[in-house]
Amino acid sequence: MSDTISSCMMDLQNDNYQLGDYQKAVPRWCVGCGDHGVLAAVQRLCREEQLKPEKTVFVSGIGCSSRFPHYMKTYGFHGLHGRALPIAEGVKISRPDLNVFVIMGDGDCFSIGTAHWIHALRYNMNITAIVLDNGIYGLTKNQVSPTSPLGQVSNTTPKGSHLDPLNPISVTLGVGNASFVAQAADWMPDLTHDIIRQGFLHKGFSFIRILQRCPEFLGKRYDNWVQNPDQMLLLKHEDGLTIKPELGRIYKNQEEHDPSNRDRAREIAAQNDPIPVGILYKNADIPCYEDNQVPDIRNTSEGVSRFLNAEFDKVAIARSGVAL
Amino acid sequence: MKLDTASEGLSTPEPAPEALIHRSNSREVDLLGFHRLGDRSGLLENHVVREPLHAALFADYDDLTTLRHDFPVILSDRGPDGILSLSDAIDATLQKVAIDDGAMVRQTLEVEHRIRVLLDAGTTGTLSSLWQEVSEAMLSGIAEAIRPAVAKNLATVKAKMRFDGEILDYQPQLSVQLITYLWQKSQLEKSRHLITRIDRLKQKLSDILRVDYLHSSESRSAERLENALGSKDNTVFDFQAMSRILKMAPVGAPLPPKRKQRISDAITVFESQRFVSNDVYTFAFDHCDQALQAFDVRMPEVAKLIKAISIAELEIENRYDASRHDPFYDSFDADHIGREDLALFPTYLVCLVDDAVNEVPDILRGGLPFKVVVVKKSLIGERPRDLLHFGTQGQHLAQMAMGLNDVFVMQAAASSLYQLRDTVMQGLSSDHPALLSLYAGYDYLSAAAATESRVFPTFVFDPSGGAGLATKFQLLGNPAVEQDWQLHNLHFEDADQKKLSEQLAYTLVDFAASDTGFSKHFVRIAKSAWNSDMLPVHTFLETAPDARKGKVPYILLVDENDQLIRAVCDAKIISATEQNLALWHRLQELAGIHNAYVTEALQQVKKEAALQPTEGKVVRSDPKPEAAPTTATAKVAPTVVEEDSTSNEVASDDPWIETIRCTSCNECTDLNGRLFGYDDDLRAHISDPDAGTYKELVEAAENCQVAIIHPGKPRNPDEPGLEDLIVRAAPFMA
Repeated sequence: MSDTISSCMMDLQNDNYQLGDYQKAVPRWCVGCGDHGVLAAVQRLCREEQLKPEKTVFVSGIGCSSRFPHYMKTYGFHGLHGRALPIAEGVKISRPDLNVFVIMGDGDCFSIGTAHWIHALRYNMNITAIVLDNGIYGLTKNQVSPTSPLGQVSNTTPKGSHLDPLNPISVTLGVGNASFVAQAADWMPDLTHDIIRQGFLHKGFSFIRILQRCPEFLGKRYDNWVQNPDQMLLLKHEDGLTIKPELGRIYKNQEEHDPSNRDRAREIAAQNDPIPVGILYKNADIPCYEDNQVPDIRNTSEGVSRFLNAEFDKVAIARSGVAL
Repeated sequence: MKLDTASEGLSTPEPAPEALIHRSNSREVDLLGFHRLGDRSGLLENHVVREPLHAALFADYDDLTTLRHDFPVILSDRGPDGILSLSDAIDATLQKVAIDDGAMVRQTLEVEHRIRVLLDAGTTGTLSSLWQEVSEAMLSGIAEAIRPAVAKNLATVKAKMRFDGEILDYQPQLSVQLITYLWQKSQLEKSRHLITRIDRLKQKLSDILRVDYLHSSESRSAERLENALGSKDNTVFDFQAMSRILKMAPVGAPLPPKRKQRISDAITVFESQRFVSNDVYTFAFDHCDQALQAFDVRMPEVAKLIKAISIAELEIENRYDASRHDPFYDSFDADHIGREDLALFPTYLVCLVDDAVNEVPDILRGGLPFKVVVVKKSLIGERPRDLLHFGTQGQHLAQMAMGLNDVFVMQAAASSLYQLRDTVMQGLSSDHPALLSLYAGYDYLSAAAATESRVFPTFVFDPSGGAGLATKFQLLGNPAVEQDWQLHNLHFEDADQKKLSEQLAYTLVDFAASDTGFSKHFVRIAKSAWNSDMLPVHTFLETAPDARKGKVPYILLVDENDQLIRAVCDAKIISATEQNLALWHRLQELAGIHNAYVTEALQQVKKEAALQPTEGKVVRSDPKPEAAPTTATAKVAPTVVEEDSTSNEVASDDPWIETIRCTSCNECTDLNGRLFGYDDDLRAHISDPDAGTYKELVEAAENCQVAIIHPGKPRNPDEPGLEDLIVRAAPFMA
């Protein structure tokens, strides 16, 4: 015998989940939208890790990408614009046993949700946060977002946008407690899957930005990189990604990058062409907020009742000698 | 009879009454006869040893209060392992406050010395209480002018001292106290885990019952609601109406009675168990049979608790399947329990001090969580049946326990316990049974002497330490581990105050000499009678038996006047020392030192190497140029992209998709769901090339945003517009 009776019993509960066990509803994203590939990659991850649907939560904000929880047969929380992260943090701190994923868009995370994004990095809770960054507000039909390219003509910038786009990876690497920072591209779905998987396995807050094509409003933006594999820079390392040979044949531009090297990660993050894809930074030693904030007293139902009764007693006194 | 001690002093080298070994004209003194046969008839009265003799090597250590060594120790909750030596505590504090302040360092060390003196005199207390006592005495004894400055310095150091607790100097019984203290710490850690786990399970199970209750119509009755809210507002609040509304809310079915019972039963087991939390059992014993009996009696309860934990975990996950799990749990008993389950529970400590140890192998061999501490106060006995091995008995228990292969074994002198505290903790926390075999000499030096003399070497055997002996067995904490003995230079002066030195080893012979029980094996020889037929014991042992003829072994001692004397020992002690050395060699072999197999293999390699030079020349005269590139290729290999067999796919005329790059965007599958399909990973492939037209293939290739569809060549030559389609397909043919 090599394990306790309890763990043996649980191991024997072989659910053998298939991809279909995580699929729900036909996605309403446009044909050709990058979201589809990310959804498939996440569902593959769930199947590989045999994540129990009832132990898995997808939290989202508002936007095209934030429809994600609707297509996962797990628990989901379609939240408010920009507020996916605080909701997910609440879920995680009260239920650390759950696998918590956060799906955001660029407007969601980098605009209205910026403060939450920075502080979620500081808290470093064990959450996998994925930003589907298509550089445009798609759900509300074409407005610029913080990552829209300079000169982007949109409903809000009819003469073209005036601001250089934000570099979310550089910003993330600037936050001291950031523990996992990666960038993927939706047109490289296999690598996207590998990166999300590494992020999921990392204990801490995994920030994964996925560059994504919006066929409707920003269809040509990434054509140069989609059509020229050499314009993509693949980061590989024994402690990061390993590149499969069939992909390596197409994407020959590769760099050995040690994800513990934060300075080099910053240099790589600063370049836009070629686009770096892979794990830029990883540090498993940063403590998780939920591990440091374990309450001394367990929040039992009796405790909650006691507290509530004390509160109620301020407005009404229970009959003496009668239990609740 | 009073010994003529003056005649033996180095500084007063008066002529000896008789010349020894060499025959005197008055009497014969037969040292050889004594050495070889133990025959004392040829000896004189003043050769007789009547008092304990002190090894010359220990002459400097008469007063241990002046030596900053591992003892006394402080039992502190704040130290890394709960134990900290006084010296380490003082050093750590000085590091923080006064490493550059010479005066403050001196004054602090003086306090430390005085604490040692107090403890030596039998005072007890905590570090802070002794510090207080000593510093007050110290301040009152110094000039008034410097008193405030010294007081301030001592107060500064005291304020920065993080460690406090009971302070204990070395005593034979301290080893049990220290180990019990560490064992309690390991128990505490273990209990904490189990308590947390049980509390969590209890809470989750209670939650299930509570939710069930809240769903019941009883909980939503008007009376309950009114009781919950209180009677103050019952004139304005219609609880009947509230109850009616609440009862309309849909709730799930109530818990099946069997499940409810199962959950309640588990909670009852959690609340009544006596292994952790309140009213816990005793786990420390003085006898093996008591510990075994307690273990046997409690085993059914262990089984009940493990069963309850396991059921609770299934229930919480809603995974309990009565048809599958009931039969298993109905027959669940102690037989189902494994080591990992037992590891959750407290361990049983048995301390045997100078007690019979014949039950020890029995208690250890079952792999059960017993931690046995055996403390011996003497190591070399002389019972008639030990005659041939009387120098090795102390080690037998640990050596036998190591043979069980599943037992954590540590053998050490009690003087090393502070250095070995991590190892002790490791043994106490290990999931394996453990034997800590200790020698507690009457004082610190005598305990340390057992290690130095190889009479009781320190070693650890950890069954969980990896696959082989190399990682499981460690011969740690012994001096000069690769040698037979640690050799020391003894410096002394002769009568003319001329400095001399002699190289000495501290052996079993010296160890035995310190015990009056062994006096009959020694004779004292004064300086005047020393001669070249006497050999130091370590040299004597190195001498081949044939060459030992006419020689006698001696050790150097100091007498009661601090004068150097020699003591010649008999062959029996030498034989015991040889046995002891053989055992040490065996331990060395286990630790991979001078291992016979390795030595043999090395000799073989050397022999082969000696034959090599001729072949070497041939290689040099006929170098193989391809050898170098091979190495170079190996070095750059990681950066070269590996090729694989799938590269052949490109050559085909059939339509194909680079499936691994598919973004699952539905573009092609929406166009023709029979021609294009998804695999198990939701990535597109050609599911039936004949289920669509070439036109569809070309359109799909054009629409595919990542351009991974390759239409191949037309399969139907009669398809209209082929010429145009072939042109459009050309960019996707690569």
